[in-house]
Amino acid sequence: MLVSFNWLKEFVEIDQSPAQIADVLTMGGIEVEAVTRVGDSLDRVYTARIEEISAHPSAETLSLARISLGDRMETVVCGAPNIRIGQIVPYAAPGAVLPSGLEISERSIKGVRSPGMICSAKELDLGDDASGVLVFEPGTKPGLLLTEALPIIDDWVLDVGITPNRGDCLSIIGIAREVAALTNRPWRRPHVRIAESSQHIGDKMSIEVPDVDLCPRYVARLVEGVKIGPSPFTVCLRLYRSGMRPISNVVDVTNLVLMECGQPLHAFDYEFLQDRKIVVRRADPDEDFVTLDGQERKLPPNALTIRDGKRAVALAGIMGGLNSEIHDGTEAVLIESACFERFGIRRTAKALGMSTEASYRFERGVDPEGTFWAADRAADLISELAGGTVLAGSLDVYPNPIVRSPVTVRTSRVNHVLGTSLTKDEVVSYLRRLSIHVDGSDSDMVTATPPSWRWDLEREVDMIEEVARIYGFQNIPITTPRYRSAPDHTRVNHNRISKVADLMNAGGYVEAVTMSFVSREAAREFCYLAETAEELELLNPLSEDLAVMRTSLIPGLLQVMKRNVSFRSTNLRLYEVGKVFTPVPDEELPREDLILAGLATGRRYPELWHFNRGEINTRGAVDLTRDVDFYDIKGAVETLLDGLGVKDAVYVPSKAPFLHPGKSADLVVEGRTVGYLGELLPAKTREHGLEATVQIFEIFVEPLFVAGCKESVFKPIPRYPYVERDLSIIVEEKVSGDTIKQLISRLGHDIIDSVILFDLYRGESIPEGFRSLAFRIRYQSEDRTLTDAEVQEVHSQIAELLTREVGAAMRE
Amino acid sequence: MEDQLRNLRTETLSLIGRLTDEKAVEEARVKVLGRKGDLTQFLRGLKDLPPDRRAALGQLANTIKAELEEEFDRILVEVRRNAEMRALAEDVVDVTLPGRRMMLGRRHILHRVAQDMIEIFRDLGFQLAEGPDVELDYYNFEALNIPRDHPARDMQDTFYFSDNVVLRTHTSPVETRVMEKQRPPVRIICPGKVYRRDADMTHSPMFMQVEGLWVDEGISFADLKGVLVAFVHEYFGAGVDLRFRPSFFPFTEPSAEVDIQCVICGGSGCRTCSNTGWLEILGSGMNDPEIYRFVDYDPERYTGFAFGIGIERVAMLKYGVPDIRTFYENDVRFLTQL
Repeated sequence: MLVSFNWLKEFVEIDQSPAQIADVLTMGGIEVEAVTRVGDSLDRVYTARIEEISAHPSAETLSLARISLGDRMETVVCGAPNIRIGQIVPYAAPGAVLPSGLEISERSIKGVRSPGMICSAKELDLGDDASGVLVFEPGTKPGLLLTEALPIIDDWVLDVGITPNRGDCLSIIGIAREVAALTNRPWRRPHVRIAESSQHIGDKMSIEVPDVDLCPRYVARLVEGVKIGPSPFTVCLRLYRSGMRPISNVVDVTNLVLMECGQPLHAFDYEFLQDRKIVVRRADPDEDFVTLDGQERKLPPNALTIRDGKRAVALAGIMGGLNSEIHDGTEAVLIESACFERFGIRRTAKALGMSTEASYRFERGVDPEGTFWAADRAADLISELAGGTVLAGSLDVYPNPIVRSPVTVRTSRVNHVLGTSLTKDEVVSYLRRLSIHVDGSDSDMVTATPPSWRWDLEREVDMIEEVARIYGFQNIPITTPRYRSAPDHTRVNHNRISKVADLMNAGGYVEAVTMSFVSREAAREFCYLAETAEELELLNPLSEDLAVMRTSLIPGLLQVMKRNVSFRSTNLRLYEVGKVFTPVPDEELPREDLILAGLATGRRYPELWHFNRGEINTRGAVDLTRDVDFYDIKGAVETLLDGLGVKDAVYVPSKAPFLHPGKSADLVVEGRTVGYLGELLPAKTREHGLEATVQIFEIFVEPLFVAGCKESVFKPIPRYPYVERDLSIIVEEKVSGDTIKQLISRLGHDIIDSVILFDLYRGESIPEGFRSLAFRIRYQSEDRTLTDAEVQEVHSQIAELLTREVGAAMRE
Repeated sequence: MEDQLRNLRTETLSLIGRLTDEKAVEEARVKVLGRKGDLTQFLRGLKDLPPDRRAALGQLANTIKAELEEEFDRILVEVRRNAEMRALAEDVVDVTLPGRRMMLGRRHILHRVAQDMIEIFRDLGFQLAEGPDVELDYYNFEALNIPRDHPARDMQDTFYFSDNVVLRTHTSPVETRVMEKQRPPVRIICPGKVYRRDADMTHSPMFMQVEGLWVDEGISFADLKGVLVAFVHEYFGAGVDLRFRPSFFPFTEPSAEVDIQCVICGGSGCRTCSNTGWLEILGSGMNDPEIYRFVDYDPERYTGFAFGIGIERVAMLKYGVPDIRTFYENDVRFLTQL
């Protein structure tokens, strides 16, 4: 909300600067987001009177205005259609710099010299209107600096953020009350004196409120004989500085009073009100209504309407109707000032997707006692600005007055909650500064009754907050709480995830964090590990790309890859640990499973100068141009499982439809498929706009923790030397590495310590469809040094077994 | 003969002093101590001497032989060492060239910031609690004193799955879930992802929070101040000033927003702090007695406080990241930079 400092000062005495007041308010809970000086950059802009108007000799749309500046005259070229002799207008002399930054200089316009110009409101940032020159009230003195002639122009605007509990602060007077309380000053409300006609409003109008539950109070006043026209400059400026647009004098008054005291008002053209009556009740089922913005709306159930004898004329507390709007010919105005029930307005506004200055305030609660005053204030201002006479009396339907309940406040409790040591007198004085009525002679306890505009003070703790605000949060001491220390097991899971991350980091993988929502297509594409193929759909997604909860982290990582590749970062190793979501039948909440996903693409080795010398490392000859392949991603997974202490892991060919059928595996831990790994199907890669091959994996994290948390038991370190023998065989391609290992271990010889594949070869000297595998078998005994003979015996048994079982041919 | 022997010793010692390479040492040794060496020959000639002289000269010759053997050994070690040192002095690498690095990944900066915060709060006495991202309206709103038609719902634009199921807009629901299961004292922090329907330079539809809750007898607003002051001083530095100003959250009363002195300009005013010298970093307050009603805590007996910190916000301030979206674009140049 924008608050004019000049306007604020009408209701509370202020010695401080705008910046100081901004600080006072902010530290009191009314956050001032910005303080802006306005109307100060009008140094060489003067008031001037138009004395003569003549045609421009060479341009039809321009005219020459001879203007008086009191002691001198100037003639300027003017293009505005609305200039008239006798008007007082703003004149920017050469050297003036307008708020837009435009510097005024004397220049020739179509052959006529123009020393300066007459300005529109927009050019001076005194309004939105750019259609013609700004015209001041006739009594304004010409020849003065604008800010001298109209001191209201030089001002500060505070941009104030009001929290939803403080509807009472949504007005200039509301802010003035806060300033008063925080600076310990009184505040005041403008005095209203209405010259009423002898005729009583009751003779011309009646009001019925059948749905009083949604409208506790309804006040109306009638003004007759008004003449609709523009508002004077000062009113327009106030509205403009409040962020509103002037419309016409009568409508402007309703907005002005709204801004002044926070009470939304509505002005009806009295002539349009059929049967001369107002009925406040719920809409008919499926009723349609055209609001004054020209939109036809289907009213939701329980929407409160303002009706005349025949039809709805306004959507209560939200927007008026097109059928009873003030127009240029309006002569009699019925002013509505009501207190509508907060939640009713909110429900209807929400259902219709509307939010107006009025509904915003009603939702947050208006002052039921201020309702009556606001009607008077509006009637008074209308008769002042639009002429006409105010009919005697008000119609005021307020069958069940809203009473603020007294609240018991204990000084001891105030200090208990705040950690302060305030006295009862201090507590009482802080509450009183907020117009809270305080009673009570007890040494600790008082009764505090909030003023009518405070809906938020219902409990002792609400009062405690008020005490704290006025006392100042900065004055509350600083202490630290005591607690009994104890072992803490709440971090176990968190620490395990950190461990997973540490292991991935150590393997050169960089962590990404991607959105938990993805497009529906992406969720379906990689839904492989989930038990059901359904996804959880948002009712109101930001976009189709973020429409459902993810079922896999791969779409996110692919997107990250795509982005990075587009910036030519093509060697990537990425991982993410995050949740995937699966709907559960007959449950409101989905399953949330933690998944670790990884992606690797590009070069296997980093760009290092050392490798350019043809060095050999443990993996064989280094070919710098090699890209990562299946065994890189598998190695990453194996290392991770090793780090987590997961021993029982099996890799079986995967059927995931998005993976290369020959280069992919499912990860089975303790008999359960907990993940997959492999090369992304080339067609998928292309679909995602990528060229390089991509290795991916995804693993449920929880089963790894379960499998990895088995207690380890010490195994004595062998004290006798081991013996290693190599075994080189040629087998059919279909005989897997695992099969051979399993066969060997099935032999059950306790001296076989390990079997490691150290070479795999296809090609020359190996028949088509076969491959050569070389194993290094380590023999080891815990209690003796093995003899060549016993090792040779087992080694031969292994060779015989492989020949028998898988047709292996020994290579020498 | 004795003189001859003594001369041989002196000459040999002098020769040894001039030897500089291994080969020369070996040659000299052979020349003196070898099978046909000078000293060996001399010893062999002793057998021709009369016994009385033989014994005395024999003893002298053996002493000298032992001395020279030791000297040859010593000089051999020395020339070898010198030779090695000379060789090493030639074998030079450019120590400024990069080494063969192990490939090292990195945790996402937001997780590192969260981890730092979690550790600070752990030291201050907080345990850890987590909960679901997809949450019941009841836990996300109702039980936090945000009824369906309350304008406070406007403070957080929410993603819905149905009338009753939302993406949590804060991690506060975890607090209620913990309080449902556990009697006071409760001291927890709840880190996690949260979601609001908003996207611009300072808002991401998904972001991360750490919320904290402390419930016990005799916990006051002064304690809240103490814990948060300790956190800010620990995380941003002991010299960083902070201020508490009244605000509104439906689940706390009194509520306080906490600002820290601008870490960019030190409080003198800059673009980051909109010239105020202050940066908002968290919301907090004393638990509203209303939320105890939902978990059956006695509000007279138990007081407490809660706070919520946006991790991105803290990271943006700590590292000077101007756009929140940077965190979720996952450009590796960013991921490996901080």
